Amino acid sequence: MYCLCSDKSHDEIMEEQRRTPLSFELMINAYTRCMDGCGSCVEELRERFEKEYIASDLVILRVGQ
Amino acid sequence: MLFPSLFARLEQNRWNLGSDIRWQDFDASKLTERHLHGIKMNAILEWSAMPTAEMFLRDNSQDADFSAFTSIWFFEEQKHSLVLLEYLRRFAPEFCPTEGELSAVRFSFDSAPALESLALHFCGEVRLNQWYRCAASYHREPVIRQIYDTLANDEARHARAYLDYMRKSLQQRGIEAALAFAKIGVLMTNARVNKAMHPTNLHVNKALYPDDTVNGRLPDPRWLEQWLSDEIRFDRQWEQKVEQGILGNLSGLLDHDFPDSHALRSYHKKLSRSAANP
Repeated sequence: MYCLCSDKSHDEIMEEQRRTPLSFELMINAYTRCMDGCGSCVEELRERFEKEYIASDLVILRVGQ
Repeated sequence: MLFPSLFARLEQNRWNLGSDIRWQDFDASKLTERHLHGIKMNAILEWSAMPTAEMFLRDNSQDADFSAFTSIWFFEEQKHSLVLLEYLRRFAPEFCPTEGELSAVRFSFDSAPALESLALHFCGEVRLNQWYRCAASYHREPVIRQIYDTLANDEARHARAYLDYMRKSLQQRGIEAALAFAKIGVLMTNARVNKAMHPTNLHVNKALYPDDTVNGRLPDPRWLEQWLSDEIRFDRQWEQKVEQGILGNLSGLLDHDFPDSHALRSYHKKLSRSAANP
């Protein structure tokens, strides 16, 4: 899937998240333009985030780490 | 059926023409007559959603789901025209198109293969999303910038909705759908074919040829080319964003990596051969 507003594929967005893990909201703010854009990708990115990460306000842990 | 969830998704993001546009921020000093001419032309182009909706409903009479979605798409595209008309009405009424100018872009489109038409409009929405983003960054007048940004986001949502219907068609019609989508993808990512590759530039009614493109029926048929090249400067960098948007989404849809238009063309050739010799 490709995010038109961010000009990035979802894989590229998740790769940036892997390099510097953030909470979901920060990930969306830092690595996408979804908040200023159409918002269509947010739910799909949330699903990917929730599969890959366990997150609290303090700690972000990649599943399997 | 995709219609209920798409309705909810689009409803959630719906903006209000009266209260969400910051009309009070208008700054006349940042506007030229040429800008206003472009806003008028775009208002008329958006009006051409009307014959497109008529075509969709006619050519998809067996598909209740997609026909229902067409109602939302048509509503939102007419709203795009209306917000531009409202801008002109408030700030430059002398540029408002006449009803005759709006009616000129409503004419009958010939029947088109439904799958190709679907892919064509997906590509068209991706392109329009980038044209409006480019226009928003070009203008300095704050209200029209906000309007173009708002329209760009709507077009991106429409592209996603079309993509959802393409995915559904792929599940139902397999290789026939993949062939149609790849074919249109190749045509719509080849900048040598036509610089302004958008449905409004296509000939759509043999009986009316050559007066059968929406652009050709604008009061200024040469405007779009000039707007893209000389005004908003929709250059190679912007064009690449369109290509990436189309190819990136087709990659996910067809489960194949298309880094460029050539890769999609090769995929289409291979698929055509295997469809001819199953």
